[in-house]
Amino acid sequence: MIRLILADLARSARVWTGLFVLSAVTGAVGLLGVSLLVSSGHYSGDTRQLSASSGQMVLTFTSISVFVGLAGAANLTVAIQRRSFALWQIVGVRPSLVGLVVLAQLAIIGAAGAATGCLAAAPGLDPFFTWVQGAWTGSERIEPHVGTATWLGTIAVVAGAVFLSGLRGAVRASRVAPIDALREPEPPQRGMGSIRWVVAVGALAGTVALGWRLGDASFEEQVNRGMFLIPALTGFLAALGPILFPLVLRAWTALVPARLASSWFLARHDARYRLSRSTAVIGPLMVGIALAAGFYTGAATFGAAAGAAWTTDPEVVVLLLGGPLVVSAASAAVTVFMASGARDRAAALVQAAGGQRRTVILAAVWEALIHAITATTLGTAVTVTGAIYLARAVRIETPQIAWPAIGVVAVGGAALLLIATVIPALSALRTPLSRVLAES
Amino acid sequence: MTSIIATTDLCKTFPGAGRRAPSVPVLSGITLSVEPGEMVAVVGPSGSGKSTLLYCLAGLEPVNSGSVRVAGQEITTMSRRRLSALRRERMGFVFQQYNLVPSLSARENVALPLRLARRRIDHGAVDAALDAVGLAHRGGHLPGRLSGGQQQRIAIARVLAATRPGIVFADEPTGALDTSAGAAVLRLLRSAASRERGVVVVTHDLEAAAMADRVLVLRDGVIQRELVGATPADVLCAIQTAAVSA
Repeated sequence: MIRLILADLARSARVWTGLFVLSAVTGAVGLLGVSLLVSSGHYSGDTRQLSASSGQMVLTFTSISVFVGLAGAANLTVAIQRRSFALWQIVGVRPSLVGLVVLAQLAIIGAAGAATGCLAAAPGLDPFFTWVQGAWTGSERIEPHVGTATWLGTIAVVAGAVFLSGLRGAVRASRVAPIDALREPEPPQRGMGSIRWVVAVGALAGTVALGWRLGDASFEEQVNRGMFLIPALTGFLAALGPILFPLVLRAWTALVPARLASSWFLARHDARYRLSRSTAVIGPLMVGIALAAGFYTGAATFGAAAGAAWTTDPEVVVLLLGGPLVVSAASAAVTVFMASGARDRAAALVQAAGGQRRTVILAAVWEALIHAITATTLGTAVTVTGAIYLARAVRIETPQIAWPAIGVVAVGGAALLLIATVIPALSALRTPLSRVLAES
Repeated sequence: MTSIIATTDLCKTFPGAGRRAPSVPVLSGITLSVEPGEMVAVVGPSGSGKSTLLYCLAGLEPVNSGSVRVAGQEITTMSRRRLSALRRERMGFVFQQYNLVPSLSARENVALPLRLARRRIDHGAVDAALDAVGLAHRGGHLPGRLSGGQQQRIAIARVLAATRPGIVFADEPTGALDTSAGAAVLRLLRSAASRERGVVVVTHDLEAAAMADRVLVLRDGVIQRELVGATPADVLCAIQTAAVSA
């Protein structure tokens, strides 16, 4: 079994590398957040409270990105290899063993990635604490106190998250009839698993609890609850991703006629067909947009309610949003990279049907834009909904929607997706057509 | 009458495995022609260069020397753009598997070359092509929901729907099919060879080869024999003789 696990890891290096990188990024960000939380226990008073609350906020905000990013990537990891798993069964590997092997691979990659991320982040702990201190005024200097338990705990949590994220996919991989998997290598998108439903219900409950009678609360409580309202709503929509994202994607792309260009026609169909990939790409970008815009929207709303401009220190912004945005960006890019193995054949088939290289590249550009626009639409909807609710709660006339934050993250995300999509498409065009078409 | 395909002294080599390894000749001095209305089969042992020959004829694989003319146009010196247009308008492909774009329905796959050429899609012609291959009722299905034989038939429908018929290239079209599905695909390929269209089939299947007007027996990249009106037994004998004489 160990030989099977290792051989398959080597053969599907592109897919597993993507998950490894994402686990590493999550591990690094997680260690920074956990170190703030753990180190707070060594101090008292304001210093303890500042350190603990900073760590909690970093971990809370990042956990939404991690949930969406890892869930999408781990599921995609299994979905992309559906054909390989079918071939395993055909050569005699028991279906239950297929599931076990996949879960073992997920755990190994998750743990290895998290450990690598923690190791990479370790030298940065001292500078990180010094830098964070810049955002605090009047507190004593704190040092990072990170012991073995912190390291192992962070690695275990990330590996566990990867494992749980891929659990449903692994179970499905072991249950699928081999002939179905060979005939239709891209698995049909199927609703939501029980973990997602639990997260969705939890996020909805959190959103309701934060927003319930917010208008009647004191201003301080409004700020404390209101700043988390949009992140909670984001978590709810992100949990509903497998149901919600395809609906939104289908709805708006149907408005643009297929005759616009053959490249648009191909990209639209591909984005609708490969829903596992589309969902995995859209989710992290939506979360990134909604968290950044939600933070600035909350700050602007409460600033307007207080009758003064609410200034946000750059250090605080980076501390709160840096982790989630890095994880979101890494998730989106890594997902596209993982799924790019299918591009060689898709490009070859289009060229064999008489499509030009330009058509293949333009289709990749359209595809990146489809994902970016869908994510921006969803992220904007969350922000606008939250902004309207907050404005009513604090009794100001005009909702303070942070359009610049939406624009910056959306444009940055679109640029990242364009790079991650178009480069594999260009690479696919370098592969000789005959070789791709001859491969079965 | 202009041959739909004509090659002269076609040669193809692949680079060696290592930097200093000698290049490997795959096709040597291939001269052949395919006339409109003709079905030509290429047979030979594995590694004899059959598929490479097909890809060179279709412009999917560049040649090292020699001439390849498709519908009277030299393709070895043609720009990629013109080659794409020629492929779109005059060539059709039927591969052993994965013929179709998986995200498009059967009907959309049939209409794809017309869409890529920015031509008005004649839905009547598309439906007629689907009807001709007996799959009018499966037009809305994705390829993953069709059997291997049905996918091959959709690929043939795509060729039939093209407005300017030229040449159909089929690489082991029956390789992944059962006997009856394979026979249906071969009958369709046979009927695809018309007054304006030629068919080139690379195959290991003796029955498939025997349906062709001519059979070219390839060995080590060289056409060793040419059979006309051959039976399956004739084809088998020619392949065995070629193997022994080599």
